[in-house]
Amino acid sequence: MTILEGLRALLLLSGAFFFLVGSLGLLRFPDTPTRIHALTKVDNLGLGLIVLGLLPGAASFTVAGKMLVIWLLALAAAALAGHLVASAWQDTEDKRHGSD
Amino acid sequence: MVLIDALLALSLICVALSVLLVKDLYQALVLFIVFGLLMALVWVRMQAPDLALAEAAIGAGLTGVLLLDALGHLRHHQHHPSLTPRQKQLRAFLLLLMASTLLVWLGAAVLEAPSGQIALNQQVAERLPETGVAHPITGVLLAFRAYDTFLEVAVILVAVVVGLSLRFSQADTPAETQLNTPLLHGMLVWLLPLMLLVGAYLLWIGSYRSGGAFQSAAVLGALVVLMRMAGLRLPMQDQVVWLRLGLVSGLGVFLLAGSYELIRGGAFLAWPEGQGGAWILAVETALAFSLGWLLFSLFEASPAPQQASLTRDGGGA
Repeated sequence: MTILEGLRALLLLSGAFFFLVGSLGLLRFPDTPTRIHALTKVDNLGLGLIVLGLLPGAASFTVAGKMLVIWLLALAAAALAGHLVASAWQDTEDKRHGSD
Repeated sequence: MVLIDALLALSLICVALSVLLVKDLYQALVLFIVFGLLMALVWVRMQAPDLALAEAAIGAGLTGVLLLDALGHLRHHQHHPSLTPRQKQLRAFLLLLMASTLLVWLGAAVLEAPSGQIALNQQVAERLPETGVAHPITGVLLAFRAYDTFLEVAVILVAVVVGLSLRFSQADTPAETQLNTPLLHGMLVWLLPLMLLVGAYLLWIGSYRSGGAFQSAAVLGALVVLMRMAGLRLPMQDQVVWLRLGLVSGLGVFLLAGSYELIRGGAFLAWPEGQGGAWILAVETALAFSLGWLLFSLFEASPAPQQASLTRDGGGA
């Protein structure tokens, strides 16, 4: 096993670890904002690490580029989805406190 | 790899069961979306990327959005017709009868499967060059079995037309939706051109690898759904003429192109000799545009989406 292979394995495994922890957080965290935190963190770091680990093995620059674009899109989508869910949650919170 | 397949199959069955057994509709819906995504993974494992794309985009994505929308609306009209125990029994009996008939039918189909090996993939591979496209799936969909695809598009069109007429016969007009978040608008400036590009790309590569009209239509449909949710409007959206033209253009172009050889004395849906690729691409372009528009109209006509569909407790509680 070369150093590169070891590094790739480490990156992939730590990416998988982040996904595991994020899923655990999604299941175990008490309220919506903390769950959003768990989910978006996973998309940022977990997917990023896995893509980074896969990059050296990509068949061509096109494939590598596509993987990077996918990661960037996932980043943007996670931020946007997190923001939308959080604002929907904020609305319902406001309504609840307003009606008390 | 066997382990992954076994895990996938097992979780697919578990999720399918939970979709059926879970009491809460919202949970059932989320599980249904999960089921669609798992199914897409199964298609990938079975080396059917075309199906995987369609399943993920339409089965999980667009259907999920439509169902969430419907659920948000259901919550505000909760007058369930109360059935007497006798009616409930009758309903359960009818459902049981239908399900067991289907089961017996499927069982018979499996048992009486044709014994001889029919190597359809070889037949397709042998005659693929005649169609003018290099991707076997596209060849089957738009050349060998074009009639099936034609009828399929007709079925979708009829379903959407019925849905729209049911919708417009109701009193409340379609809702104006607007998610007024600057972040969404800022992001859409980047996302919309990218989605248009992906849609066109999927359509173009359909001639030589996985992709094609249906996958492209799903992306285009999602694009207009996103635009609507952000409060952006297409200039021609409010004119009924454009709506109708968009809805029928796919089937219309398919019909006209298919009739060309018929008029020249050939068969219906047979493409002119040697020009198959170009004709198929033209039909697929019309189909992608029109199917995207069809998928979008289902969403566009829906009543005001409730916040209920975003948070589980229905906006209050």
